[in-house]
Amino acid sequence: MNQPLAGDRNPQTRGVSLARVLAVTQGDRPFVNEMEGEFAKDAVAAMKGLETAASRGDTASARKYAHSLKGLAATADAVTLTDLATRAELAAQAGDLTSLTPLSAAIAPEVEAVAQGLREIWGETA
Amino acid sequence: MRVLIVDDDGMPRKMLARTLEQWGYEVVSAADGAQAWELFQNGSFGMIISDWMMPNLDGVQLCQRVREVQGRPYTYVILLTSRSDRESLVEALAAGADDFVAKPFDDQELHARIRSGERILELSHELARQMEQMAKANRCIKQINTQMTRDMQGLMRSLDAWIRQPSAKGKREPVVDLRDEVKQELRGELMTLIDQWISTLAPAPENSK
Repeated sequence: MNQPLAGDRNPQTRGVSLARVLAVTQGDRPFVNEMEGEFAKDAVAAMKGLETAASRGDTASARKYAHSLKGLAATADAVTLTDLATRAELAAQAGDLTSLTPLSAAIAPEVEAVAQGLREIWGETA
Repeated sequence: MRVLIVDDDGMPRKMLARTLEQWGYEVVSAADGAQAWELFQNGSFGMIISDWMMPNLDGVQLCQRVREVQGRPYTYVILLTSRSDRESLVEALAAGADDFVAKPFDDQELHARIRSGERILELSHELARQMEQMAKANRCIKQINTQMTRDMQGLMRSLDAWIRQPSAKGKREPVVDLRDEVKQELRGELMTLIDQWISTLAPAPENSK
């Protein structure tokens, strides 16, 4: 039988709500771990892509990375990260590098915070 | 139903796959549009649920390719997207997308839209079955028509030959005899038509006797 996940007891941690994730995974710990790994891999890749694109002034690529990050964050119900990624996407779409650069910088620690939050919720580091 | 899901991000793709499997669908996953296109060409899918923005081949481009394929059962395409501006929706519809679901998807909404798609697919398949039946019936009618034309032409030639005989003038009975002779050569389904035709023959004029 699957052990209760930390998120079952405290689904709201660090701006991350995993009600949906937990509903889908139904306490399947290996699958939960897999999802956490997928999020970390994809979000870090998108974050780095966004940083590189922003530093090069490549707003088209920046928009794609921000869009991907927004989808990932929203899937994990990571509210703050979703908001930052949305603003970065809009800034990139508008070609607004002045806004994009600080947003990109703010996203990096938030990605790490969300990833950490997910690990805590899923009980991997508790 | 077999569903092809496409998303370049692993977490949403796997969560979608798990969700669909819990609903009883057979799921095949692709990590981008190009891989999905390969899978589509080599497999059979009732539905595609695809992310929009992806590298290599995006959701709209994938949809366009799927719609260009002829001779296969209809595939219902749902695009998962956070794009909601009017131009984007028009672009996707023009490419052949059937529906949209916002990312991240709401379970109940997605399930309802998939069921809606299934109903459309069922109607589409039923229409295809009926069209095939109609095509078969049409081929059958053409064969009968060909046969009837041939038989009627033969009958006309025979009657024409008889009419040209001076001895037949004013005699209706030979027509009946000739009918019986022709009947033996005609298919059974033509008998009613022939009888009806003969019954419409006007009686011979009195002065022709």
